[in-house]
Amino acid sequence: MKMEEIALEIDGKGVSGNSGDTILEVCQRNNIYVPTLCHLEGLSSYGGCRLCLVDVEGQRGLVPACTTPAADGMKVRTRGEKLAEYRRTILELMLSERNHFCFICEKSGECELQSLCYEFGIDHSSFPGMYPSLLVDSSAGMMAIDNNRCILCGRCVRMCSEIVGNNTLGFVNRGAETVINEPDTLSLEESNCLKCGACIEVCPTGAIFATLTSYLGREDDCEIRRTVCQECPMACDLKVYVRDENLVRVCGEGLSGRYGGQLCSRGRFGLLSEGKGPSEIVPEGSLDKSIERAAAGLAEVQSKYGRESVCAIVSPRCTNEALRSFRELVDSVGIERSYLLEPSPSLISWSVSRCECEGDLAERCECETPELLKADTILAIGFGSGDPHHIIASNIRRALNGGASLVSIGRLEHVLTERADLDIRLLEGELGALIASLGPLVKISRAHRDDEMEEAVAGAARSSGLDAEDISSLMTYLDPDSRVIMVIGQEIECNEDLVKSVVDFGNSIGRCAKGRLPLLCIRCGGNVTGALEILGGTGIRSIEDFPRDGSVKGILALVADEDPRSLARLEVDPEFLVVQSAYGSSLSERADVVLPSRAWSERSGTYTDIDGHSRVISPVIKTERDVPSDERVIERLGRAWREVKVESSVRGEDA
Amino acid sequence: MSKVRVATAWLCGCSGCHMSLLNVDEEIIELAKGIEFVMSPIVDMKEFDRCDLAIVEGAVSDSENLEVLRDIRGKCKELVALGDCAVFGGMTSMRNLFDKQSVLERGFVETETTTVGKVPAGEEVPELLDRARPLDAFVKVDHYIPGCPPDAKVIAYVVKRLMKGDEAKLPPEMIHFDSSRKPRRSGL
Repeated sequence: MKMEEIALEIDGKGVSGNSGDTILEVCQRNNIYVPTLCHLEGLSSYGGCRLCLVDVEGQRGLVPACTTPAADGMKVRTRGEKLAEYRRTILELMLSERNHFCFICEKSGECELQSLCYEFGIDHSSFPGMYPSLLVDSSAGMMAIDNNRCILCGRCVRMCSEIVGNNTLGFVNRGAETVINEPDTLSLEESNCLKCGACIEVCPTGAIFATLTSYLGREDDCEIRRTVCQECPMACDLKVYVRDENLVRVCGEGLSGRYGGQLCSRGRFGLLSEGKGPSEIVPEGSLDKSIERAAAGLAEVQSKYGRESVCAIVSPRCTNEALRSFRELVDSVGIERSYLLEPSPSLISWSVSRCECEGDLAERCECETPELLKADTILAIGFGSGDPHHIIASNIRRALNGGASLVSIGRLEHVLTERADLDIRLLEGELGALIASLGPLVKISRAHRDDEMEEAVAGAARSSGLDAEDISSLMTYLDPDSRVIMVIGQEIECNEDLVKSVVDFGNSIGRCAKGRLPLLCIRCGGNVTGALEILGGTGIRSIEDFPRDGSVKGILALVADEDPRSLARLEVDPEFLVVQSAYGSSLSERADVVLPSRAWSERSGTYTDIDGHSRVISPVIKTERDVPSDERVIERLGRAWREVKVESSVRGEDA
Repeated sequence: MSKVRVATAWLCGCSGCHMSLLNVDEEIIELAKGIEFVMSPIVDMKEFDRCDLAIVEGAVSDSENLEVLRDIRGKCKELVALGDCAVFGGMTSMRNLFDKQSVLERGFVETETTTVGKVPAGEEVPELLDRARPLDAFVKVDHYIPGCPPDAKVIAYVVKRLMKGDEAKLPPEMIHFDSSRKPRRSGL
């Protein structure tokens, strides 16, 4: 539709808007205040609360501004005693319909219903209280729905379907008995709820709230600081509420933010849990002494057993700055083997072989997450049970809600299996052949060489071990006009042939924006993208490839703020072990020297997110202890190490 | 000028609103110049004939509350509902989500610290009403001061206005439910 300017008169003032605008949008464009409650920019209009009722000349009755299209020549009144009286009545009805006990409510002081009552001078309700006893669901643990405080504005329902794409929440029952929950189970725990808490952020009252952070502090009590989440490569923007240097709440940036300001359960709730606090490691004695001991010890191992006897372990939770210092160090002291603590090992090997196949690892060839929304067919390849990340899953679900198809190809069931239009289960080793046969099939189909198709399908079936029927139905999702995107999960098998056939297949189905392959790889570590870019040329390998043959005599482990539980699985015990870590772990207990590192909440620097964009990390709490940044510690270690080498070589010459 | 005769009472409430009334601090001196307390839980007089202004805290939860409220209403010219309980039902009306008998059992029999409990009964025991309700469910209320508790400054504002015979409806910025923290601005 062509956008045309329209002219209206609102409250006696001539204003303009665009055709297609609602009356509310014209008002907002022109700074005319209309009270709203169910409306929220970024969600569809609902017209449920009736607070935005306005008077349009020539129309019978009042109309809701949020759902009524503005028209050229319209005369609208948004204020006046009659409208105020209606709005007061609506608010009083809301107060009397359910149990709004402000004095025990976590939302009091931040509640939109309460604020509107104050604004409209409501000092009592003219209607007797109904005092219903409605469903309270606290089954999910970290969050709860108390329908006694619900005004049925439906923001949570729209958030859950339109932004998260999960369609968990809905209206249950009718009339005064209507409640919000998952209609079949009436229990978040038993439903498909992801516990992402997106509904908490949009609830105007205290009906949906985070039990974990309730009553710890309201917006007025807190300082809001911004950083990005360091838990996975989505690097979501965080709004962190801090009170007296304690974290009390983690929120997203709201509907105008990236991906609708969504966070996952790990970001919203997990960052406040145990094990995510400020760093705990304090070096014994002075840091300089520790660094000197570490350098001397590792250099000694190198001179005793040869340069290659010392290797490095590095966490993808490190910032780009720390990783660059790390690279400088490994280059300058001759560490040839480094291992990335990435939980999805095959994808690291995958990326490395992809780089060998396609060129430089630093050169980005994968497409960006928002491309998913434009896809007609999404191929979920090699998904593990936990795949994919919340935000990617949300984008896939939204694409599916919008009519796209999902084809799942792999060994395992995963969170999106239920939504797959076609679920092809393979045995180990079968994936390579299938993908390899798809490229040629797509080429035949796109060239409309229909006569060759049957034979090609039969050939593909023979080589992959699948039924010809499965291949044919798969091909219906890859028809020439559909936009196809592959999402590669953590259970992808890794071999060079597979990488080549995926790239080949990607080329045959057509490239995405910026000439990128229609391919998205799910990886886990927060800054794994940055780590692969910075350490790509150093022969970095996945931690899974760590040699167990006893050839490693010295280790420098930069584990940053990795979860101590995941480090417990690292069964290494070399002659000399240096661990740089924020928290104590079984690894640091075995270490000869422990160096400090900052926790996520204390860090500053940058991450490279899954789409290759740089994200700025800022410290959100100030601690009394002055923990130096990882890069400073690594730089100092490198300098000390090089000095030891120079000294020993000088001594060697003397001798 | 004759002093304004004021009666205050608390029905089913926690006395927090009266504590807040005392929190007017030094302003009490100015108020006292124009006020004569004829009855209040915070003074000795428990009986009175008539008054100009009655300030009542608490919801109506039992037969005695109702009797006291009706007596006060009959003797006063203007009635002020003080606090969330008197205005909306408040804390005391949270029991309305359960039926009367289970509330009594919970309070007198099932309490964790009770070994042998019994719901008190008898002619001298006021009867619990089915539901705790605000004052205006039973009598006409002329002025409302919500809040849990209402801010002392807001109470002083209303009393001073009424002493002068002015309109005492609270302006938006003085209204608060719950305690007096600053509301988040919803509008402009």
